[in-house]
Amino acid sequence: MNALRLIDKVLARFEGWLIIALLSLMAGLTFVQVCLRGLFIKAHVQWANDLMGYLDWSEPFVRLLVLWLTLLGASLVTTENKHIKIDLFSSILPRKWLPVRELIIAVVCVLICTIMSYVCTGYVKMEMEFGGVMFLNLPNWICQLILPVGFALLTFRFLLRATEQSIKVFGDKRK
Amino acid sequence: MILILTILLIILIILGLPLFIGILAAAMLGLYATQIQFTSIPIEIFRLANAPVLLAIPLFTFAGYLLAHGGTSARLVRFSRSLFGWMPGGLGVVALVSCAFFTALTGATGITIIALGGLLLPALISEKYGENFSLGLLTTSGSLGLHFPPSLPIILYGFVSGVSIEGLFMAGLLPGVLMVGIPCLFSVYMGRKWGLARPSFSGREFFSALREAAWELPIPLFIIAGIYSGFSTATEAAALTVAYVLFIKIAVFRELKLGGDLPVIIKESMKMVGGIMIILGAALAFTNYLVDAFIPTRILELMEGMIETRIGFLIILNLFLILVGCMMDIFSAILVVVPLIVPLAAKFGIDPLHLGVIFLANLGIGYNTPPVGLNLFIASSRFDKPVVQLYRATLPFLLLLVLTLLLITYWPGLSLFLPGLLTP
Repeated sequence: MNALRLIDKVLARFEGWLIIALLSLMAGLTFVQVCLRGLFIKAHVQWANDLMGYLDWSEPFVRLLVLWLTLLGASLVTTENKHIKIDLFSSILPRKWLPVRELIIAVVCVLICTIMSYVCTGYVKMEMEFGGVMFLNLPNWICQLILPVGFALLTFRFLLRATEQSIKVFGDKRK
Repeated sequence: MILILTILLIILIILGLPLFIGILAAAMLGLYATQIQFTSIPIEIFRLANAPVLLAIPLFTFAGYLLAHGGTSARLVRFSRSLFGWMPGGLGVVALVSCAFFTALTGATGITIIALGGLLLPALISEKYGENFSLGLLTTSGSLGLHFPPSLPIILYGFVSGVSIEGLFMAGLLPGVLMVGIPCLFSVYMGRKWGLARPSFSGREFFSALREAAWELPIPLFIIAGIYSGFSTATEAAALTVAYVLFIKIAVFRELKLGGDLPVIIKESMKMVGGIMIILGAALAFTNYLVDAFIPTRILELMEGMIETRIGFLIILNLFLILVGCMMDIFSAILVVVPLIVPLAAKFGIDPLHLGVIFLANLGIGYNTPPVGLNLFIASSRFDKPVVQLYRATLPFLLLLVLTLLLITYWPGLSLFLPGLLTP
């Protein structure tokens, strides 16, 4: 249990830094693009256009970053259990039922995320064989790698949560 | 078997299953029932990486979180106080206007109540506004700026429905003004009735407050001007906004520490983005299944038999959306419901821009609707009051907003006048 929590912490720190790096890249590159385009279109600066030619990979790249940030962000939200949900019963259900509810929900999440990791892995494998390329001759499957990785992270988070909740639910009996 | 699982899933979603899991599970069930491979799910989620518009969401969210940090809210309140404070019920007007402004910038995520509520509630109470009046006003004002650029719900609506985001921004301006203006009139009326003290207008205070807020006030104007002059798209405007806000927070106000605050703000804002966009990904997969299974067409046929007129459709739409709005937050509601409603509305000859405005107005109201409107809970924890008291406090404002909603819904000209000017 403690080992799981430690892994969770280390992962979260790594995800945090990755998010910071990727968002900075996204904001920076988009800003540079806007400035160059503005310079070329409004002021007809030739070198701005040349530079844009070198940076033609940046547009698909930042679009890809949207997906990466989404999955990394979603994974971090899971650590705090703050996913968007419809919550009608928190105030109505008796307090002692809450851990049971949380456990059931966490187990369902683990199930769905496991299926998703599996399906996404298959998808990436298929792309590896197919061998399409995106910007900068980067193979498609590397760009898509975040899908199985992201869902694997989510699976791990929900698994951790399910374990914690089951200790809450069943822990009493061992005492 | 499928039926039992579907019912089970619905129960789980109501019990509090994270929505993206629920939607993914629904897509899986549907695909399984029609014996299609699950591979279409990751293909659809990967579409998140192929839409230039979506880039605006993380960038604007980041800019909004940056603005919420530090003294922006205090400067805004001071400025609008110097501008409107002299009116009867002036402080109420101040609260409504600055909240609407802040909501537009931060994207209706409950930040408004958290950032401005703590500032405005003590001020209102100390000027002898009724407690319930103040609470109701601040709670509802958390969802009033939805129609103004660069509101995130508008961008998301534009993406999901395929309507031009620039057009939606234009269409939302007048209805947005109305939704802020009518509660303002109410505040003026109550202020006069209670005979509250009215500070006189001070030119010196106005200019000093203006100078202080001069860096932040024009941000929405910059965005509108940039988009409509054709200088930048919504996405490019987002990148420029981030750069500008970073500049003023670091260089002008010196209230943002690069090492300490920035990483935290980035992480917090991206958690918000992750939470919304993962639902978007799941919703794309689910919608793809729905369309493949001809579900919207079937609903359309069903509704056509039941509803004859446009007005009938609009009434049902309003009721349905308020119901949705008080169960789901605005982002997931847009993602799940819009693809179903858009073809229906087209059939009844409702302008897509007008539909977008109605949609946002409805969902904004749903935020304040008992029993589960999100604003009520945020306000309850922020102001440390029982939710039941907030139900009562928001009621008059809720009625006013519903009145405004009717006006917006049954007077299409209000929404379509400004976009009409743009396209000759």
